[in-house]
Amino acid sequence: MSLRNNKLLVFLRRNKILLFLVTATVLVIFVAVVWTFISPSYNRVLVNLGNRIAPSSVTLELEERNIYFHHDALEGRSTAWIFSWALHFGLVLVIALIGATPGLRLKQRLKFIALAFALLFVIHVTAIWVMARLMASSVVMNKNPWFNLLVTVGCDLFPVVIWGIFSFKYWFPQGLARERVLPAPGSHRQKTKKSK
Amino acid sequence: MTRTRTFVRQNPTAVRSGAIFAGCMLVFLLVYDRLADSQAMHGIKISVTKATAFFLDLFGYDVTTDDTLISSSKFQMGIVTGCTGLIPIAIFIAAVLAYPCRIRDKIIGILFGIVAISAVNLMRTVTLFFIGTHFSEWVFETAHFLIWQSLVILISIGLWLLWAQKLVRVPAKQ
Repeated sequence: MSLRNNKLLVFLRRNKILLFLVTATVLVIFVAVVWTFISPSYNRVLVNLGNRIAPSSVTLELEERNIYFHHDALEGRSTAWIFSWALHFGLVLVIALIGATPGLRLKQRLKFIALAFALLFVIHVTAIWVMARLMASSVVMNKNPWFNLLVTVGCDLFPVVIWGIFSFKYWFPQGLARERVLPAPGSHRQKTKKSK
Repeated sequence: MTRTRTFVRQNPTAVRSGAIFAGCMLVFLLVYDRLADSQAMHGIKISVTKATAFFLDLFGYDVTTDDTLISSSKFQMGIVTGCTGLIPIAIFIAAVLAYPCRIRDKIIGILFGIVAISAVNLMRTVTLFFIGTHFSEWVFETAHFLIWQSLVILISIGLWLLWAQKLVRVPAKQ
């Protein structure tokens, strides 16, 4: 059986959402495996940059996949750390989401991925900076609501929001449900037109 | 700036939906943060632990539970707040509330989403225990942090798209 007539492929091509989910799942697994090799370098960049912007009393150190925050006053004892993959798994998600969105041209896809990557990098650096600041002020980070909020928003929500903004018009080319409905005669929209 | 203004003027429903989504997420995250150490959250974690252990038992794993800890002779796994699937559920509910449609469709969407995402989250905890038992720490961490966390959010988005495009009834054009 040729690839073009494969029943599964024909079914997937007809069902846009299922095709998107299958493609994105494959991409998540692929990008995640690739990311395990790239993440050590990305972590080094985060830690080096973090050390430059962190308060002088706090030093960041990378040990395997954990980023440790040392406070000078505590004689180098690590009182806080973050598992780096928990911080930047959103990069994997956003690449898979943009990569799987139907209707985008390759150039647009690459542009959106680059933009999303840059935005998430800024969020990661901000998260590291906030953690270092909290550490400097001797706040127990994991109990700090703003820290929790920032990590949750940065990791779970921002990739989705970034993707949503980039791909909105490809999922809803005719607008959202209410915008898809033509106004009834004598409706508000028509009246507004007349008043113009 | 002009482009933004034009977009806002041409897509009022989309802009309003975006604002509702952002507002709902902010409320959910603040509530989530307040609940993080509460008895209610502990109850949810215990439920996820017991459900995971139940399914592992069905698949022939000899596991015991102690509070939020699931253990076997080879592996043990703790259920923490992040393992409850509440954040993907919150994202889904915010997206459903933000979508312009009838209240009835929203209620159906929210119920459908809570059940489906909870089921996916349960699948996640069960498969992670399986991976932790049979594979190396590197494979477990990759599956836990990079793959399953992304997949749960991805499936939530897929469920929302399915609901918005297939289940929401758009009134007939006049």
